[in-house]
Amino acid sequence: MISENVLKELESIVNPKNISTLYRDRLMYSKDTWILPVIKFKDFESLPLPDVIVWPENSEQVGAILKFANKYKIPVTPFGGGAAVTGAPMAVKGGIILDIKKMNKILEINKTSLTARVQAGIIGENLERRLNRYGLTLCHYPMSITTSTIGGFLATRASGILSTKYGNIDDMVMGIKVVLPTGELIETKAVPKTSTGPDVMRLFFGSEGLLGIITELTLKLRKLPEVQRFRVFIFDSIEHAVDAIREFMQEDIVPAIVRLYDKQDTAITLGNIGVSEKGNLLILRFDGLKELVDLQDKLVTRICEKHHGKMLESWIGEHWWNNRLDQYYRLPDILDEGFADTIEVAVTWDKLVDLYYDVVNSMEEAEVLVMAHISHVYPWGAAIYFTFAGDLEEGKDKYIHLREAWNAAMTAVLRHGGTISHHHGVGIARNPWIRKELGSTFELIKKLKHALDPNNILNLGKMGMDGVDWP
Amino acid sequence: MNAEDYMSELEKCMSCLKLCRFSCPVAEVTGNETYTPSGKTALLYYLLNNKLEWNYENVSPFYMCLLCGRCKEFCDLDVDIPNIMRAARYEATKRGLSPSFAKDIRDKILSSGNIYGKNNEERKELLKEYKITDKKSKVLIFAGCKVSFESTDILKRLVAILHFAGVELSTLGEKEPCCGAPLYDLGFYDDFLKKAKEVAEILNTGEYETIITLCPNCHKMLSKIYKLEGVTLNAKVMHYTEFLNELRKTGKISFEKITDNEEYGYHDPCKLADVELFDAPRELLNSVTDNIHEFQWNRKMTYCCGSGSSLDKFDSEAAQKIGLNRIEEAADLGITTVITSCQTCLQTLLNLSHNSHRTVKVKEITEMLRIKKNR
Repeated sequence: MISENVLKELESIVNPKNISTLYRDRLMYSKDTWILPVIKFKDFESLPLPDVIVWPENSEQVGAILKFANKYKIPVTPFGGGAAVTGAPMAVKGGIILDIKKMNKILEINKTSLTARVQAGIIGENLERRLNRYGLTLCHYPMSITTSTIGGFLATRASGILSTKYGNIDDMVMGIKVVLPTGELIETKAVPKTSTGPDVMRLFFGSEGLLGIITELTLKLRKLPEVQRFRVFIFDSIEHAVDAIREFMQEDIVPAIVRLYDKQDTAITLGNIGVSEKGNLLILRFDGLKELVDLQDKLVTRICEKHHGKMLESWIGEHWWNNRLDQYYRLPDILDEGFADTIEVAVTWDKLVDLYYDVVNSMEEAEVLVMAHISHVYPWGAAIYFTFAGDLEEGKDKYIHLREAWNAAMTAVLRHGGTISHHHGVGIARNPWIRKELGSTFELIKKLKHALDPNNILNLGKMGMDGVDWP
Repeated sequence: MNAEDYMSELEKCMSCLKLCRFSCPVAEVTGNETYTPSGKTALLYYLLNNKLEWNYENVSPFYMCLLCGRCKEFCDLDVDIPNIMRAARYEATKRGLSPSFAKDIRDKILSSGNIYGKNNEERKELLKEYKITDKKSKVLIFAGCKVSFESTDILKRLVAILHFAGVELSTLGEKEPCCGAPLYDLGFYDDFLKKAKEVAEILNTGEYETIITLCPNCHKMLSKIYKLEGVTLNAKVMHYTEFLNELRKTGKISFEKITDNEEYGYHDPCKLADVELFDAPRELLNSVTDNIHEFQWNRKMTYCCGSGSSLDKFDSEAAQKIGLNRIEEAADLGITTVITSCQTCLQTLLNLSHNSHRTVKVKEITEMLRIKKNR
């Protein structure tokens, strides 16, 4: 616990209203949306609690808090929307939770250059809606857009549903302000491209708060597209569908959305809307000027039909888009009878189908129900997003069951040379497998961490550091 | 109004990914996980399961809610946060844990008949000042506490229009009671039920055919909540925008077109959104101007002025930030004058507009209605 005298010093840094040591608040900050702490929280099981939560309002306050924490060697865990599914914002060693959500201002919208300078704590949906008022968009639509922060997106290298055309969050940021673990503020120049040395900015992308706290971002915006057109196909096999996707992507015909469901996921997705087609559902959306969309639509349709894709009515795509969050609302019901979780991985085209089958088979051996979709597609490969669920079985510990399923998936992915996370990040969830994933780069990350954070205070226990395993 | 009845909704909400977070103005401006809808339901779940102690510290987040219902609109789990918060506040009341601002409002309503604790006789002055004849007419104006004591201007404008249209009006004068909405919202459910019955008795004693409400919260109570709570009113309840629009549509009155350079935007009050009263004010405004725009957040997803459920009295800083967000939205959209049909929204947004760096004017809807005299 942090002594009262030490806490008093925090009051000289931020407004006392922005500090809480109340048990009720510490409890509410004991979890993110990783299924493990969510279940434990619901079942009143113990979870690591922070000692104090602090809400700074600007970069300078973040710097002062980190200097204070270094002085007293207090662990600090950055917290955005708490929407991570990996335990990344959990205060596993107690100390301070530094919540960035009071840093939620849009500082500038530049309509000439199509950029926006924003504080890191703004919620994705609130940012997007503000931009829409000016006919602009960030084009970053992760599933968690309504609950997570822009800083959190970048700290985990998140992907949105439109990433195939518009890129991942990594591609949407032009400059950042970061507070280093020792409290110094650094700022990278916001320009479209520079060749003045290594790209320091990217060091902090995906650093999950281990190397610094991102406090401000300059974002690359786009105009809202003139046309958004859905096109829907069904394929008899995942191989045919993958071949079609690979072909149009490698011809540089790039839809905004490419989402291919496997047979299990298709059955549920179409079943929910009363469509009886069976197979592998492919949902596409083309964005842009009408003439360009017309041409892309025509060319992609030709390629899909060549690979035995059958066109379905496009309302299915529109309905899917408008109801895409529905499945996430089912989670609370699933928790009554068991657990459900997701794992998203990526691999090159040559290994993609084999990896898919291997992961599904391995997870089924671990006695979970698995389904998957391919999304976030590149000319060189794609991400596969596995959703799985397990029943509560008599005599079987649900946490062991969950871990066995994870281990089956992670091991299979590594066997095929894939990455164990495409966009959810590492947090605690991937700690058991991260050394194998990172290989020789793990030691380099450790050295960087030590160099930047000599007192080892920032986001402890994540990314395979500090010997922390699942709670 | 029993918190235990919501146990299954609490379980669902607290295990959700907080998908509604963006929709909650309080969560937006405070950044505190405890103040998200999911945080508040988790808190209530822990309290009801005796995993947390019932004390002021643990119940106070239940008052960090505008009861605006935006989260409910976005929730596919059908979790009714406003009613859950009312039930949670009722639990707090039963344990003597209500915040002092809430107790103060309750005491004033019960002792004086209005939310200000003023002498209810003062309501009688309205009759004189606004030349409402005290005879028994079939149409009763239910002014509400705010209009009776603070925002009397609207009455002058409204009465002038209604008189021109030949509508004879009654008021209850000093007998007009508080409708009980603050009791209902702030967790004094038992007091509310008594009050609702008392109000119904007064209203049903007169032979009114129509009750015109001026306050959205009074309107919601009289037109919807009383009925849900088994309290019946004999007369038809109409919000003043509905009554005026009926007069307009039936040709009993018409209004001058406004020709100016203003860009108008209609702000839906939360309580009218609760009863889905959206069209009448829009039709009235469309009849006088072509420059009326929709807010991005409108109708059932309207964005509160910040004073909903008296948040301004519990956390004025949060309430102000919420109101400023609404002004910012208007300015972003190029709206130069915000029109509303709620006296609380009007006063709140007017006050905030003076403190905002974005310039927006704020008006009550009858300020837009100039009678066309030569029809």
